[in-house]
Amino acid sequence: MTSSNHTLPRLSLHGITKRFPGVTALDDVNFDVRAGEVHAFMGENGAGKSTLMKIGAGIHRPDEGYIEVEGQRLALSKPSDATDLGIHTVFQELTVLPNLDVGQNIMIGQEPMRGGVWLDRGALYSNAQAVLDRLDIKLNARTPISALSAGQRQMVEIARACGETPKILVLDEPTSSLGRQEEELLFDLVDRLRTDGAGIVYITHRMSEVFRLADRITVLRDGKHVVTGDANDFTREKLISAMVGRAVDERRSGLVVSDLPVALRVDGLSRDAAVRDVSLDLHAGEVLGVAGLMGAGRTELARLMAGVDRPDAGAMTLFGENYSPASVSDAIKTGVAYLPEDRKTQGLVLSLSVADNIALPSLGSLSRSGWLSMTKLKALAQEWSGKLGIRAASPDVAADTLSGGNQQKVAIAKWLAIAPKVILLDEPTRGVDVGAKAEIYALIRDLAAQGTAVMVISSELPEVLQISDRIAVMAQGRIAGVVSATNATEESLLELAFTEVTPDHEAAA
Amino acid sequence: MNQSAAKLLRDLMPYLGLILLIGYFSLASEFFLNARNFERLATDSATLMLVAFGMTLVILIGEIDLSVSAVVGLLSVILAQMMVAGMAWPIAMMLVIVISVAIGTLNGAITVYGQIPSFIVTLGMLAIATGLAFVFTGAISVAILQYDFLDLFYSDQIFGLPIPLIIVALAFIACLLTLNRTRFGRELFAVGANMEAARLSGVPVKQRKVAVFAIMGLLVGLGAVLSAARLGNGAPGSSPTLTLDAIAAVIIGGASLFGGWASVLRTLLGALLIAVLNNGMVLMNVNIDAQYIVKGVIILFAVVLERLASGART
Amino acid sequence: MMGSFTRAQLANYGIFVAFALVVVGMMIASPAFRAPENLIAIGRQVAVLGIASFAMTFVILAGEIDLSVGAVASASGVVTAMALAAGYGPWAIVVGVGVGAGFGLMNGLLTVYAAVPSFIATLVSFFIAQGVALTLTGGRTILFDADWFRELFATGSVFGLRSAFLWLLFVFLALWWLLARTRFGAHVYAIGGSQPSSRMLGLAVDRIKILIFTMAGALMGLVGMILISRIGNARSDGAIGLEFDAIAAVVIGGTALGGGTGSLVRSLIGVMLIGVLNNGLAILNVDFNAQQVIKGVLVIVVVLLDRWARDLKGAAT
Repeated sequence: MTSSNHTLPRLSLHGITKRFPGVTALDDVNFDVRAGEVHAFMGENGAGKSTLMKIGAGIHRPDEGYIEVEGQRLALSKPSDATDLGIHTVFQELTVLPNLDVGQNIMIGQEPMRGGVWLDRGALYSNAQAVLDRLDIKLNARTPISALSAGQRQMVEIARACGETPKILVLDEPTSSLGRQEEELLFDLVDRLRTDGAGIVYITHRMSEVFRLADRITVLRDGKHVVTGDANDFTREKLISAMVGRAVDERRSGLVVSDLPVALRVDGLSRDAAVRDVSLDLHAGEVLGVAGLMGAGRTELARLMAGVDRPDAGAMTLFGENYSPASVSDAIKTGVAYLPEDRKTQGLVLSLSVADNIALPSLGSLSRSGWLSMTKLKALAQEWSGKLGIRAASPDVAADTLSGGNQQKVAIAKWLAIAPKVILLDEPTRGVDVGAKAEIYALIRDLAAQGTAVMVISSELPEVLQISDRIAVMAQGRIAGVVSATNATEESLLELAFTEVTPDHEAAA
Repeated sequence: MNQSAAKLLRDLMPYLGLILLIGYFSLASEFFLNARNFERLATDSATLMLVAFGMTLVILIGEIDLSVSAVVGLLSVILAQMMVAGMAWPIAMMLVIVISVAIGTLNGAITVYGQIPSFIVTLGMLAIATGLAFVFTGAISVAILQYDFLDLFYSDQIFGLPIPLIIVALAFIACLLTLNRTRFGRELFAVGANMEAARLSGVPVKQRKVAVFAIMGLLVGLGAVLSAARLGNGAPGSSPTLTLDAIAAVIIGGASLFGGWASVLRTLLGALLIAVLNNGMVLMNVNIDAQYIVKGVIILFAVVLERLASGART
Repeated sequence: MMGSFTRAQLANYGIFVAFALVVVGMMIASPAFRAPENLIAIGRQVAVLGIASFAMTFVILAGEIDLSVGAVASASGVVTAMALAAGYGPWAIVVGVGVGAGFGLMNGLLTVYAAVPSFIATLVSFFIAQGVALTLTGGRTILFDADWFRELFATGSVFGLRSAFLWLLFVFLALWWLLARTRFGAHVYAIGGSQPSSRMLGLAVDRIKILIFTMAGALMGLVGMILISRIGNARSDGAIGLEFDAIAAVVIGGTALGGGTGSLVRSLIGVMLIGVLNNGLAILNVDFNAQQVIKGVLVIVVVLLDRWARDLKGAAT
C-alpha cells in the first residue's frame, strides 16, 4: 500500500508558525502530502490540526513559514486561491446549502451554461450525476438536501470537492456523522481517489480508520510536530503515546468520593442522539472531570443538567430532591450553575461592562421587587473581581476590552457570585494563557474544598488528570467509563474515548 | 473616516445637531426664540417623545415597531367615538390605553412566540389599524366635544407647566430608571446584545421581549390620548410622520441598529432635535412635505455614522 | 407521522388549495365575478402588484426585505409625469427607471457595504422617496398629456391584451428566466440558503445583493409608469402600501421570509389570490378599508401557519 516514492510532494508546508492572541497554535510545523497517498493527520483536540488545515485551505495565513504546491512557492490569501490550485477541503462544519438539491450543490459556481446565458439544467444534473456515479455515491442528483441524512450530506460535500478531480483533498473528521455503510463507501472512495493519483490529507480521531487507510501518519501535539512515519511502522500503542507524551506534574490526592454526599444524581438521561442513557453521580466536594472526543455529548449532557435543554428521557435529583429545571433561572434558583464552552457567544455579553456581566445571573438577589440596588451590584462586582484577580481598568469597562484570560474569569465569577452548590464548567481554560490557567485550577480546587460539587468538561487530558478526583469518559453520547484520577493515564483515557459503539445513526435519523 | 472619529461624531451628533438647529432657527425666524413658542414646541412634541421612549426600548432589544402612526390614528378614532357616544372621558381614556397595551402585547407575542421578524408583524398591524380606523370613521375626523378632557391636556397647567409636558417628564424618568435601576432594565441590555448569553444567564428572554412591546403599547396609548386632545378630534391619519420621527429620534440618539445599546437620555435629545426641526420648518414656511426628505437624509447620515462607529465593514 | 405529512403538505401546497377555494367560492357567490370581462380585468388590476411582488421575491429569496417599493414607485411615477409634462418625451421613461434604480442602488449599498439591516436601509429610502414625491407634487395631482406613453404602459392593446397585462407577462417571464434558468438565479437561492457557506464557496454575495436591490428599484420605476398611465395622472401616494401587498403576495405564495426557498410561480399564485380577493370583495361591496384589515390579518396568519408547518418539518429530519 505504501506508494511513498521519491516524487515531488504535491503540497508541502514548511516551518509553519501561527499565533493567535495569547496562544501559539502552530509552532514550526512541517507537513507534506504526495500524489497517490493518504496522509493521516492525528492529534488530540486542540493540537492544531484544524489551524494547519485552514492554512492549507487559504483561510488563515501563517505568521512564519511558507507553502509549496508542486515545488512552487505560493501564497494562499483566500479560499479560491486554494481551490484554483486543486486543493479542496471538506470541512467538518458542512457548507452544503440545505435549500438546494444534490445536483445544484455539486455544481454550484460552475453551473453549465448554454449560449452563455441559459442555465443548462439537463447538463447540470447529468454532470452532477456523473460525478456521483464516478464516486459510486448512490444518490440521485435531483434529490433535495433536506431529504438527506447528515451522512449523505457529507457525501454531497465530498462529491462537490471531487467534482473536478482534486489534486489534493483534505478531509476533516469525515466519518464523524456517517453510519457504518456510508463509512465503507467513503473508504472505497478514498482508495479510488488515491489510485487516481490524488494526494489526500485525512484528519481523524479514529484509530481503525487510520490503519485502514493511511500510507503515512503525522502526529501533532500542542501545535508542534511530533513524528511522521510510514503507517506500517506504527502500532496503536505507539500512536497513542505519540499523541500524549506529557508528564502530569501534579495530581489530586486520592479523595474517597464514596464518603461524600451525592449532590446531583443523573439517572438514564437521554436527548436525541447526543446524550444516550447517561447515569452519573456528582458528589459535593469532588471535582469530576468529563473527558471525551469532540461530539461525544459532553456539552449536551451539561446543558441538560443546567436546565438549558430538556431531556427526552431520564430524571435527576439534587440532594435527594427531584430536580427537573425548566429553564436556566430554575437551575440558578436551586444553586446549579453552568459555564458554557464558548465565552464570546454564550458565556458573556461582551458589550456590557464587567460589573453587569458578573451581576447578570444574580440580578434577582440584588433587587427588591424589581428595584436594583446599585450599591449591592457594585459591591458584588468588586468582591468577585478582587477574589478572582480580574485585571480590568474598572468594573465599568466593557468586557470585550479584557484579555481572554480575564474575560474567562469574569465568565466564571458571574457563576460563583450566585454561591452555587453545583457548578458545571465547560472548557474553563479554553483560550487562556498559562498564568490564568493556573489561577483557574486553584479556584476549582478551592471550590471543591469548600464543599461545592464541581464538574469540569475539558478536551485537554493533562488538565483533566490534574484537576479531577474522578474522570468520566464519554464516547458517542454514552458514558464509556468512570475512573479514579489517581489510576488513570492519558493512554487509558484515550482508550476509553476511542470506544466505538456500533453506529446507530441511521436508526436515530 | 476612521472608527474613533466616527464614534466621537456619533456621540456628539445629537448635541451638535440641536445647537446648530436652535442657532439657525433663532437667527432665521423672529418667532422661534420665545417662551410661547417653546411651550408650543413642548406640547406639540409630547406624543413623539412618549413614542420615542418606547421605541428606544424596542430597538434596544433588537426589534422595531412600524405600526405606531397607524395605531395612534386608530386609538384617537376610538377615543373620539366613545366620547361622542357619551362615555365619560376618564373611562374612555383608560379603555384606549388598555386597548393599546393589548395591541403592543399582541405585536410582541406574535414576534416572539411565532418567531416572525417584528417588522413584518408590525407592518401587518399597520395595515390592520389603518383599515380599522377608516372603517370606524368612514375617513372623516370625529370631533371631541368633552371640554374637560381637552382643557386638561391642552390648556390646564400644574405649577405653571402644561400637563403633557409633565406626563412626558414622568415617562422619561420612569424609562430612565427602568433601564438603569431595575433588574428588568439591565436584563434588556443583555437580551439585546446577546440573546443566547442572556438566556444562559437565566434571563427569561421571551417574556422580557413581550413585556417591552407591552410597555410600547402603554406609551403609544398615552401618546394617542395627548394627540387626540391636542387636535381636538380623532382621525385615522392624525400623525402621519410619527413612526418616522420616533425611529429617527432613537437612531440620532446613537442606538445600535442590531440591539444591545440605546439610551433614553440620548433619545430625548434626538426627539428634541426632530421637534425643533418640525417647529422651525413650520415657522419658516418650509414646505411641510420636504420634512420627509430632510429627516430621511438625517437618519441616513445617522445610520451610516452608527455603522462606521461600530466598525462595520465599508 | 401522519401529522407531519399533512403539515409538510400544507407548507408546500396550501397556497394552491387556498387559491382554488377562493376562486370557486367567488364563482359560486357572485355571477358578476365569473363574467369573462371581470376575469380579464383582474389580470389588468394585478399588473402593478404582480411586478412589485416579483421584484420582492428576489429580495426575500436572498434573505433581505425591501420596505421602500411603494414609495419608490410613487416617486418614480411623479418624476416621470413631470418629465412628460415638461416635454421630455421618451426620455421620461429613462428618468423614471433611473429614479427607481437609484433608490434601489442606495438600498443595496447601505445593506451590503454599511451592513445596515435591510429593513432599516429600505425604511430610510421609503421616507426619502415619499418626501420626494410629496415635495414635487405639493399635494397636487400631476397631469400630463402623452397618449403614446399611456398606451405603451397601460391602455394600449395587442391581440386584445392590455399593455399593462403584457408588461406583467413580460416581466414575469424575464424574471422567471433569470431566477430559474441562469447562474445568477441559482446563486440567489444559495445566498438565501446560507450566506456564510456561499461566501466560502466563492460566490459573489455582495454583488448579487446589490444587483437584486437595484433591479427591484428599476422595476419600481416601471410600476410607477404603469400606475400613472392607467389613471392618466400622478399622485404622491399613488402606490402607497404597495410594499405590504407585495410582501403579502410573496409570503402567501409560500416564499419563506429569511430566504432560500420559494419561487416566482408561487408569488404569481399569491398575486392572483390577492387580486381575486380584492376584486371579489369589491364586487361583494366589502369596503376597501375592511379589505386592508383582512389582508393584514391574512398575512400574519399565513406567516404563523408557515412557521408552524416548517417547525415540524425541521423537527422531523
